[in-house]
Amino acid sequence: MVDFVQDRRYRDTHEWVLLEGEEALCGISDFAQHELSDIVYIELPDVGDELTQGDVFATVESVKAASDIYMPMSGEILAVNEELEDSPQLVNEDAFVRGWLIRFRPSRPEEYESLLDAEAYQRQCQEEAEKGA
Amino acid sequence: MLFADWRLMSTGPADCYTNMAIDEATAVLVSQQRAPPTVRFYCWEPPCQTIGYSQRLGAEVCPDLSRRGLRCVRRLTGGAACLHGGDLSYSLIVSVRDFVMPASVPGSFRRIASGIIEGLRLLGIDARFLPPADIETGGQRIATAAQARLQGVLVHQGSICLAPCVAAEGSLLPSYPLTPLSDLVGEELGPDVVIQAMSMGLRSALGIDLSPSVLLAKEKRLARQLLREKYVQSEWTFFREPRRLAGTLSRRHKTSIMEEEQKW
Repeated sequence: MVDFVQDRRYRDTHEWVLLEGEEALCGISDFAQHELSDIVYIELPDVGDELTQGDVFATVESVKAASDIYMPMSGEILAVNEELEDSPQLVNEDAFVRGWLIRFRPSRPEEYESLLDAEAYQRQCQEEAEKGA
Repeated sequence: MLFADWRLMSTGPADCYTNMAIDEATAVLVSQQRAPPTVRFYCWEPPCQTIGYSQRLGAEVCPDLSRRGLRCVRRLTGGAACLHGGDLSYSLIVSVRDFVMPASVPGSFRRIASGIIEGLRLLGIDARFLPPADIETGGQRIATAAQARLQGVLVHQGSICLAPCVAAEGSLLPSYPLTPLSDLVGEELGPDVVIQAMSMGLRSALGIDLSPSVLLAKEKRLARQLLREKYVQSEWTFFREPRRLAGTLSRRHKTSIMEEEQKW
């Protein structure tokens, strides 16, 4: 069963953003971790990197597949989830809480409005799940 | 631009750096919808070793091979080290949004493998998918694959072992993980015969039209640039620092692409 958490927004490339004051947490969705299957390695950015919306900020490797992860909003990286270095499977186990990837300070907060709410994102995922079946 | 058909290419033998540069150039153009979804078959000359995108160099990557003059290049795709020389390789490059391909990583491996298995059946070999990424017959692995998903594009690189891998000095390379098809059918299968069978298999299993084609001029230019600036550079294969390169590589790459675009 795939979760679609309501308290955050999503990019169509399957990243989620949770605003916390002037900062934001970001990870990949439960749908995405299901589609990637068992994650074995995660490459994260350096703290201090300034990235724009759509930039690649991480690479996730799962069963012989390396996948880029994109910035849902522009901003400066404030922290990365160090736990993932030894336990990348946290993203599979708990994509929305313990499996967060980065904390960042949005430089263009208005970009949040361009992201999908949970309902719209769920519809997109349903369409994707049906294709190629 | 939208493309109704997929492109089928056979680019023959090339060195490891060139083969990987072509795949990335194709991926960039497919991501920009400037090239159609593509299936490319190719061989490796001279024999070489490729390593996975995230792979750390260590005991798994046999140091003896480099002492024997075997070239090594890092792939865009995940997975582990693979020897090339007696194999036929193929790359399937398509938008992740293409309706043909399941969204999931396991699903797409299985879908593409079904085309290769159909191709093997046409060659008289009864094979089956061995998750996550291999194809086997009679308990022997005969093909493997790895994937990358970048800039909205799926890059699937596969290898089908046709004959034993022989190093430049004529000795068999050690630890080759795949059983050659020649051992199974009792005769050598040339690349052309296998390419024809695999093309038919992929057409049938994926339900796609494959139109014979060649590399585009802009694809060749970008491949040459990637060859020069990335794949022949030891920094890419041997000294990649994962945490630093995740951001800087994409920015540098983006600049290169923009410069290349201006030339077009």
